[in-house]
Amino acid sequence: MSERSPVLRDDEGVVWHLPASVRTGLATSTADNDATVIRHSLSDPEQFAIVAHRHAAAITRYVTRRLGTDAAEDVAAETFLVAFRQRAGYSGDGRDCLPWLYGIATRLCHRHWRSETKQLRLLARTGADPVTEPFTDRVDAQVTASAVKPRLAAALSRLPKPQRDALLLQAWADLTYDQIARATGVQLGTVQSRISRARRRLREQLADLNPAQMNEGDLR
Amino acid sequence: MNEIELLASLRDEVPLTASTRVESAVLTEIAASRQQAADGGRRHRAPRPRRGPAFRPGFRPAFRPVIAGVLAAAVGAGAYAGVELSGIAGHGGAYTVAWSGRPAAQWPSTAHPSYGRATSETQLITYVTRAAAAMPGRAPKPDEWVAVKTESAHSAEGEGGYLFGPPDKRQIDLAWIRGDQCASASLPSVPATTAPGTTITGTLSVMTTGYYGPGCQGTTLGGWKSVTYSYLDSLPTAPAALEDVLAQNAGPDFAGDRSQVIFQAIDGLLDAGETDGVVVPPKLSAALYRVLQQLPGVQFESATDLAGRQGLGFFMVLEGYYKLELVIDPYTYTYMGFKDVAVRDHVMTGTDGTRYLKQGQVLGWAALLGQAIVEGPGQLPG
Repeated sequence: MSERSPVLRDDEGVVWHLPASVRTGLATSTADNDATVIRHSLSDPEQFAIVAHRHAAAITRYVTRRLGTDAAEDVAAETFLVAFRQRAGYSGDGRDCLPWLYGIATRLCHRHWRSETKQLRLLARTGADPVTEPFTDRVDAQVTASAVKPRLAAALSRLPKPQRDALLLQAWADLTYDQIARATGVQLGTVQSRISRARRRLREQLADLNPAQMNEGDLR
Repeated sequence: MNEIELLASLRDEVPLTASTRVESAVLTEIAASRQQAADGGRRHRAPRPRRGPAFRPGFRPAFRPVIAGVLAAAVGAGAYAGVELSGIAGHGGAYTVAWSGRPAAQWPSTAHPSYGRATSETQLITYVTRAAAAMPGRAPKPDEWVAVKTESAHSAEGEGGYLFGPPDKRQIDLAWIRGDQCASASLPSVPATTAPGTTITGTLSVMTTGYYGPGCQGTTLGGWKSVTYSYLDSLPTAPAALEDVLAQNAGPDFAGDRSQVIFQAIDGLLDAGETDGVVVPPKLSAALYRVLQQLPGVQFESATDLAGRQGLGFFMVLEGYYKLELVIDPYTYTYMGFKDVAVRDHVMTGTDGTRYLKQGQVLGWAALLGQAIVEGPGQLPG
């Protein structure tokens, strides 16, 4: 992500001026890891804007892939608000707090469970994906339509919530099993079994497809 | 490509772009928190950027994780075994505590009335019905915690939806879930070979905010409209009426015919539910066993749980090739665990190759060694 001016303009044209301490932070804290920034934000709340600046794009993309554009910005914003309010309890010692944020975002996605499932079922039935439609050229979408995408969507739509969460945190957020366990607040063994079962369901759903149909390009 | 790689490519046309709305919302919240502090603590709700209609909180999760279990121990408040908690690190919604205790020690099983060993499904239902009437059970209070002890099987040859090889590794896990299902605590796993008298010193990780168990804030288990104690306690106990509720609520969560859907919903509550701290009212357990007794396709046999204890098994063959067995404690009439076994050779052709399941191969195996209400995370019944 490129560095940006410490002034933000939202879609309604409102300009948000970053506080002076954040401007300083943006200039000086890029070397600080997230844990350090969050710790500093306890006494200087404006520092937390650095966390949002670093990770808003990744969280927004993850939520968009799950829920579509309509709900994504709401949920992504709420993710950071929850994180801000709970930052005193942040216990991560790693360089970035993305796993923590992904965990919060995942729980917030649960409020949209029916909508998420409905969109997956639509993709499964029709091959048209309402989530990616805003980002996909219509002709491209027709050319690259494949049997794999609806099958994956069908399998995902049938997964119980904990399995879907764990699987998507692995596949879309690139979290390790250990990070998923910490992000979702369950034991490592539970994560392993959830992903195992989810993968098994996916594998069965795709079982009768010709391997030649499963090229990476088929999904794009 | 394997299925994870395929999944990683799904919807990857969604771009990684910065969102000024998100960052502006954070700045607004920060400003509100400053104002709140200046006002002496009154809360200012920061406006959130909105687009599109609001969604009402949704429901509908779950299935069961492989970890499951045997309810050998009691659901009932009591004294605590000698565990030591000290050295709190961190604060707010998550913290760690130094923990010392005996994770493999057997828990007491005195809170369940027993009328002797049940040796048939009919006897089991008679006894459990009598026991439920004698001790109806109770909901954990919101500030109480449900301690859960599980044992699960793993394989050195790996796992990918099932055990790829023999179940040659076993581990014990201890977890605590607050009565309102909105907080949890856990310890690192220990090998199941750990002697009961062995004292372990470790770190208890506690999450008091941001955890959503199956009964927390509109969350539930797949196949169940709700898993709060009050809801479970309100369900009909007549088998036909209860079956209708289960079939209606399970919806698309499970594959199979009506009987298979009901069986999997019961499995989900007893396994994933109790493992996640859901307390099942005894009268509902009795009603569920009555459903299992008469459900088409369900069979009954003697069974052994992962910990080697004898139990009563209700089983059903699912998807034509594996048997899912729920094991019930013959003395306390509570859930003990599950076992998945292939009943015939089966070929699974996946995106990352073909795997061959052999008849008799154990696909999953776990036990609930105890579930009990305690006053705080880290405490054990005793």
